[in-house]
Amino acid sequence: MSGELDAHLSALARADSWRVDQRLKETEFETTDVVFFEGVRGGELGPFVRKRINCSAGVGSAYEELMRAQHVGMRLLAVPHLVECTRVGDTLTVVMEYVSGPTLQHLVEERGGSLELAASLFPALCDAVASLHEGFIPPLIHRDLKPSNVIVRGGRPVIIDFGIARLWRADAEADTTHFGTRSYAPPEQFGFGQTDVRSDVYALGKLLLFCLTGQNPHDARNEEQYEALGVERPLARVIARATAFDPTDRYGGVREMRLAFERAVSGVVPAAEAADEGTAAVSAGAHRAASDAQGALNDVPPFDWEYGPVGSDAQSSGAAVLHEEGTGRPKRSPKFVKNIVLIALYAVFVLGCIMAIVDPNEQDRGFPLWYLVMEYLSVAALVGSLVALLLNKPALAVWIPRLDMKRLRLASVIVLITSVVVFAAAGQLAGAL
Amino acid sequence: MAERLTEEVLQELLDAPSIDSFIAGHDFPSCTLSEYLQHLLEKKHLERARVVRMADLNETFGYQIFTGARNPSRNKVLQIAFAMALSLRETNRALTAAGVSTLTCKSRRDAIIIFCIDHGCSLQKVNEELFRLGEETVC
Repeated sequence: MSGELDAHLSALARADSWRVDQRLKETEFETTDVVFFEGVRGGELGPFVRKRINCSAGVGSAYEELMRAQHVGMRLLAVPHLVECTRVGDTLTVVMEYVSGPTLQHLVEERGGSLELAASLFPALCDAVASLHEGFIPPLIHRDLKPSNVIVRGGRPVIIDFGIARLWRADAEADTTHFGTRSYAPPEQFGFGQTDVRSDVYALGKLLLFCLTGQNPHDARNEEQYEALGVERPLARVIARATAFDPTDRYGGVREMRLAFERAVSGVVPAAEAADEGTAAVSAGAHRAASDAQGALNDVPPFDWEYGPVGSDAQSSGAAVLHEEGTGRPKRSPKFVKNIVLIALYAVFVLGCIMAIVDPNEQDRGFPLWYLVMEYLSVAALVGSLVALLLNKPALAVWIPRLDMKRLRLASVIVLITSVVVFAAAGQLAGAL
Repeated sequence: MAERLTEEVLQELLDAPSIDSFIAGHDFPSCTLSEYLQHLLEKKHLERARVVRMADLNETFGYQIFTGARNPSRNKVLQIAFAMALSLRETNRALTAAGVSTLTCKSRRDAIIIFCIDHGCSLQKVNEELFRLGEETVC
């Protein structure tokens, strides 16, 4: 304990060196600031996030647990690194790393909900929550999982705000504190029973709904309503089970839910591709072996995290604004460079074609001009359509915002086929000459 | 489409968080030290004689503190606080009732004492720590 006391005293001695840069949140129980540490000689470290929590209501203890775990070397990758955790009476002061990136809320608001986004993020999110449940004995239950409490940093989710998280207690019949955000917190959190790992399962179910559709209406309560929002049946079934009213009807744990999610996605993806072609409607889900589940997610097109600057113009509330600043996309990203190279090569090719028409070589001199034009034009069109298909469209969208991906793809394919036909026709005609 | 804050929902539910702490925080109006100590004795089901003994106080002096005949110094109040295992909030109330300054973490000595209170240390332990860190002991 003496060691702890010494650490405590040094933390207190440093307390005056934190400079508040911006207030993120101020409520009766919690004050959250962005702070910088000012060194004695004028140097500055930061930014960090500092929370001052009033623990009298039984909140905030999770941070002490996390600090303890971090201290003994437990690696929790999806949780912000804690710098300091000091308690004085009822006031807990926690300083943690500043996680940069958009919140999931913001990301989905910008891009819309989609299967790609869910498939990229949800398994990692499940793993993160599972690490909290499994890494602590008794399990650490977050109890406030919602899109604004998940930050996406480099394509991976980080869970923040453990204000009402708590170790599970076997003796409590009903929690004495009722907190949570209504649309994401399960019924038991509002007084119908004890919260446990299945409460987090419920919240994850609602989160999944949000990732898929961009909405989370609180009157959506069963499978039919989820399907009405546009969720495919296998996924709607997963969400419905996760958000069952009675905890015993839900998944027993987060890992189980993740497995079910992956299995459902494997059932959805081939059906989605069929729908794309304009054929049959979504089938009820192919039954693949469980061992396929892991590989199945590879069939889902990966969510492109480099698609445009996320919300750099949006002026939204505190945390979201700050977290966006970290996502400045460098203009010289590889995909963008690839685009430039492709366009440059194509320009050279077109120039070559034009030169071949204008100043034909020995072989071509015999043919009439119209033939040469037809031939080289069709070749140029062919290569052009291939280039268009090869271009990285999201990077292109940065320059041409109104570009419609599907139309471009369709147009390229049509031009490709047409040019092949024309080329063949030209060939035939040449043979006839 | 702004998400409603947790706290707004809380108010909507009209539930006070953790009844106990609110009662502990609000029920006792500022009063004299002896009355407050008596109240705490009853609440925690403690015996005055045992508390005085564990606080390392002279028996008569201790008795006089609890009856209000004597005004103790800050350190004496702290001794009683440790003997009764008071929380920080209760200790500060007692200190205010005694007319002395409360414990703040601005002072290094106070910070050590607060830490020990929060960790449920005994009087002996807090003396050890204060001595080790070069501060004036409680008793």
